Amino acid sequence: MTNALPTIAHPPRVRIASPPGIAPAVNVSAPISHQVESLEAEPAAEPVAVPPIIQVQDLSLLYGNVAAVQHVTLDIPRYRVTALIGPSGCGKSTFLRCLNRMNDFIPNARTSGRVLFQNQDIYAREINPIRLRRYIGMVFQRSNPFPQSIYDNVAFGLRLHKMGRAETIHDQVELALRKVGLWDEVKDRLNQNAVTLSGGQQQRLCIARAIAIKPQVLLMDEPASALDPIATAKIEELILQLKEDYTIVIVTHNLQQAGRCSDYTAFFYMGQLIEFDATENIFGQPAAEATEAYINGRFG
Amino acid sequence: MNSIPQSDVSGQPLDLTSAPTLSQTTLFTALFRSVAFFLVGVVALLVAYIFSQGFHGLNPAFLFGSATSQDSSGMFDVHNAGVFEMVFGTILLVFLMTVLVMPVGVISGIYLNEFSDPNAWTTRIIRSAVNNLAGVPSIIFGLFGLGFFVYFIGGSIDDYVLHTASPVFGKPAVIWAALTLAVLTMPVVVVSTEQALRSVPLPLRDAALGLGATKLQTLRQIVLPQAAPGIITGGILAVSRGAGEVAPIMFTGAAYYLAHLPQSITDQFMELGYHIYILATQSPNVDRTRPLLFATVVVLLLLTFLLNLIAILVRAWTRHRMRSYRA
Ligand SMILES: Nc1ncnc2c1ncn2[C@@H]1O[C@H](COP(=O)(O)OP(=O)(O)O)[C@@H](O)[C@H]1O
Ligand SMILES: [Mg+2]
Repeated sequence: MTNALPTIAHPPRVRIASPPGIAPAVNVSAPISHQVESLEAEPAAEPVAVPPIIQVQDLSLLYGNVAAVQHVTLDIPRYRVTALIGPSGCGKSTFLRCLNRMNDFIPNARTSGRVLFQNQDIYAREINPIRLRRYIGMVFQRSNPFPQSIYDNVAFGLRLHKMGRAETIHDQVELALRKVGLWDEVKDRLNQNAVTLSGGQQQRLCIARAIAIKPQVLLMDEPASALDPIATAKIEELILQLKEDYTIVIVTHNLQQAGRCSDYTAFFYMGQLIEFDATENIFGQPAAEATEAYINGRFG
Repeated sequence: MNSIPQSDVSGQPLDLTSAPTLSQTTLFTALFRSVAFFLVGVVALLVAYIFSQGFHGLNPAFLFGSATSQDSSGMFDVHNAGVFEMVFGTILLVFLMTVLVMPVGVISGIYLNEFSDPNAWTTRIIRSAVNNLAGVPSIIFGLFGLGFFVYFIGGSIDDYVLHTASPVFGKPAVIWAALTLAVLTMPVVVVSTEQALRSVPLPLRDAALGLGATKLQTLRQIVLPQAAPGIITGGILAVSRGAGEVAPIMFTGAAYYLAHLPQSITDQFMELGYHIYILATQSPNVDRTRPLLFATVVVLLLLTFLLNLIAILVRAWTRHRMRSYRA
């Protein structure tokens, strides 16, 4: 099925700065041909091998004067799945929401440090977070379809960003639903309210809604934690498919899930990044004692 | 059955039964229910009394007849008058009030819930103003309407805009009465709007914002459609509160007697509630007036009920439209 789909082999340069004044730095990260990579049995083990799409530099976030994220530096490799793990309350969600500035809406949250998306600091003055979120999409823990038709849910972002006329919107809606494997299940009831879908279908609809506007990065905050095992397996399968076209950052409290789906894993503990490495290394030979303790279920 | 000995940990025989006594739960349920039903009794009594008293008066001539009947001496002949003008005036008043109160009340509610900083002193001032407004007795609104709307605003329009010596705006009028009622019912609309907006789940807002919608787009496309039925409920409550209020309109626009329907918003008008007040207090022949009085009360009750019904239908329609995607 994926063969028929267009893929972003050469992602377009993205401009997220709102005023058309200063030209942003040239994007030096070379586009990768993912077809070649997906033939490889194992992804590259060392993080430096894959050019990053997001570079986090000394990022901290305070809620009032309580630090939730402290001095995190981390490169997120393009077209890879990066898992964020750690005990609950360690700042995974907060960190994730920093990457598309969803924390802007929390009045007492203050951020410091830099987050470079395609070499542009997303916290710079000239950045328009609205434009940013069009390129860095988000899927939430609890599926949150709009109480509108299935069709309108997927078309929401397309209409919002004026991505085509009615006919082409229809094609894009179909494409997005096909990508999440929902098309055959819903094609006869596109006008039904989305809340009539099952939990797993709703979550896949939310993913379709997010990818319909062709973001470059997909942030997922425990996308399967409220689902039954079968629906969870579908989501995991989907994640492995989606990484051909998107860079995925996924928060999960399910270590097996991190092991199955991700290429890289970041272990957070009390707001700090303890360790970041290829997933096999994190699970095979973690460098930090805390990581090992967590992986082996000794806390968290 | 089974042979396992029925005993608890200490070896005592298990006893799960109890004598069939009147349990406390049953007792209190009965008590609470009878108190609640007392309310039903009060309402039933009230309605029965009013209808039995007003029943004779309810004839077509009364319901649809003009209130402008005069006796031979040219005086207002209440005993042969209908209520048409009063029904008209009441509907006009409530309509104008709704048109005036909804935009201002809804926008204030949206501001308070969506845009204001909840800890800022300005927000606290707005909030306490709304709350205090809700506690002011309605006669005060009447006096305020007379002083502020009629004399100050209306008078100023006459003096500085129209330059007329004889008052056009600077006298009681249906527009001032409607404005006064709008101020009176404002808190209901503001609070209902706020509640309706607050009840829209946060994840829905997150979903829209996460797709790159602006705050305003999220509000218009996701939040407001969700909140619409609750906001309309605020309108219903405002209508219920406003319709039939006499004190706020008796100085600001309601007329004792008018020979014609209001022709413009600067005209006075006859109104059911005020007419009831007149019938109850000004009649020289109490016994003859009584059936009329109660018939008028019945009409007012039915009209209020009807206005509520229209608003409820509008709300149901809004809800239905939101869910009509379900096959
Ligand atoms: N809006 C908020 N205001 C204040 N503190 C918050 C807020 N959201 C989260 N926190 C706190 O920040 C810390 C990290 O939370 P979170 O990022 O949700 O952790 P995780 O996703 O790893 O479970 C927790 O201690 C939590 O209580
Ligand atoms: Mg979380």
